Amino acid sequence: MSALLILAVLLTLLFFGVPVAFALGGLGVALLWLADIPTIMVSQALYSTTDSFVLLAVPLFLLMSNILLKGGVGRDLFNAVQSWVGHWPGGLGIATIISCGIFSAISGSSVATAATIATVAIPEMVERGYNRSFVLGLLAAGGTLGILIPPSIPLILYGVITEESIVDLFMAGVGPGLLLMALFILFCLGYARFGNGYQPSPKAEWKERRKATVRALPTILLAAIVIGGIYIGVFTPTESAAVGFIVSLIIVFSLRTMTWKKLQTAVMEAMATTVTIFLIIAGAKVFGKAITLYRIPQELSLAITNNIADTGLFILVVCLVLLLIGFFLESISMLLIMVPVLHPALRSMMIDPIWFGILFVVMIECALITPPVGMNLFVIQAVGKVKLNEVVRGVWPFILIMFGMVIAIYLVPDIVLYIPFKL
Amino acid sequence: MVTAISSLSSLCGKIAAWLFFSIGLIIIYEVIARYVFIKPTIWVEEMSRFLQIWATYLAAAYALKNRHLITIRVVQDKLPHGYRLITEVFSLSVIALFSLIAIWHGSHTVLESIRIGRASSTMLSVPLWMTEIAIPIGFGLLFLQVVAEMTMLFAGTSKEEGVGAEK
Repeated sequence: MSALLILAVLLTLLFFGVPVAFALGGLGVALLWLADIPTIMVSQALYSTTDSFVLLAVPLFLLMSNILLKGGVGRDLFNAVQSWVGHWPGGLGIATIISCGIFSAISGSSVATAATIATVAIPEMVERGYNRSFVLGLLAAGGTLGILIPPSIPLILYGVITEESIVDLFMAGVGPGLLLMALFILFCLGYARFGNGYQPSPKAEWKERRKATVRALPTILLAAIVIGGIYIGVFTPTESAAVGFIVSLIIVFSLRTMTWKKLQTAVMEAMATTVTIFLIIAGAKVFGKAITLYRIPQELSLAITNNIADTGLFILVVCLVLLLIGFFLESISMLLIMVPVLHPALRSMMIDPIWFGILFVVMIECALITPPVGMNLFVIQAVGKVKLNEVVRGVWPFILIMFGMVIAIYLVPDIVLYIPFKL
Repeated sequence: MVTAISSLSSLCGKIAAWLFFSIGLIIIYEVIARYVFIKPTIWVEEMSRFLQIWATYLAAAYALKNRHLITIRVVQDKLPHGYRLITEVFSLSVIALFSLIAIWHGSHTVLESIRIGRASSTMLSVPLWMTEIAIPIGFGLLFLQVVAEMTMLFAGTSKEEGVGAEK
């Protein structure tokens, strides 16, 4: 009962326009106060939130992708991929997905991935006569790969909350990320065959290919260093982010695409995103402490295990709840509110927390492209200068593909678990 | 006064941004020290956390000022202007209240740490108040920014609607 009441108050605060960080933190303080628990733990919670070496990976990965983004790496990457696959049926669509996939390996954020590739790909594809809604939907969905393919900010946060290994989580994201890319590519091929026409791109000359690839090569190598370094265990995720940050600086300065002014913007934007995320984590920490003292996660997990015996049913219910929340909540908030509540139930349901983390991220990807609130929809709307409806019309086939993805990783958990544990 | 507060918030935002940048540099130093000189440092891990605490809370006011705080606006955007004003005052009050609590407890923790000489349990043994003080200072700045936002709201000079961005 108290759980429902707290949830109702939280939603009211959020819908009243209170920033998520302070809705969580404020409600947390109020709950502590009502239960006569000293609120001194507020300052401890704020302190311990940012007193974390693991979390440092967040600002550093953001710095890296912002620097590359401002250095125009998105265009180089798209041009290189396009020179290889552009002349295939649906070639520009395929180039878009592959570019999103590669950019995902240097960016931990879906919004950044969508924005970077969209700026280059939308004009190009529309010019070649691809259906506009298809193009917009493709980019909104392709961008969501950013948080599934490592590095990934939601996976870092999931690891911090559940105290699971970030390395394992990152590696677990690789298989599903590649599968999702493959499914998107298949859809592009299908579109090219059955959709209404578009003008195929000409096959690129070898000289052109070599030139474009050489320009994009540093970025692709960087992705390999960042992910490879974590995988082999040479760097911790935080160190790998720092290495990526320095190398990205070297890349953009040696390509001569960076200016002092652009660097300032990149650094300021990385800081702003970091701070907004960290403030939400701090608020969620206060809220989390409060609801734990009210024994809400424990009781909820007990209620779940008493009423839902079947793991499949549990996963189905969780997915439906996340889908529903995802209509309204933005991804980081969704993660920080729901993971602490659901995590205690995982052990009693015998669910692997690494596998669940990936499932959660796929559901966040859905949330990013489901209206009315879907960050990637907004980004694509802004980049493409179109109406939200147009993006939404193009995005629904991709939502269905993601549902298929959820079913696939449920039926074949090894898609997730093979790389981190069995390779 | 409002302009003074806003410039202070902007300045602290800039400092925070370059603090994060510096953290990247010192972590690289650690990686080089470990693999090239085979001599890991004892200070990088702790210093980088130290700087992260400062950077985060210094920039809270900047985040409010530039509408970076994540907010859900589906309902708000549909409200008539008068109601929207009420929700904004309400949101700002929640932030102000939370800031006051953080300042209050934060300063207590700092004073306590100074009194009993608490230090971090590492080889560096840094006095804890040096990082703990970031919380009352950061939320102090945030509180000032709330006051500035309230003033602009009532003077009708607030440049944007809502207290946050949908991010």
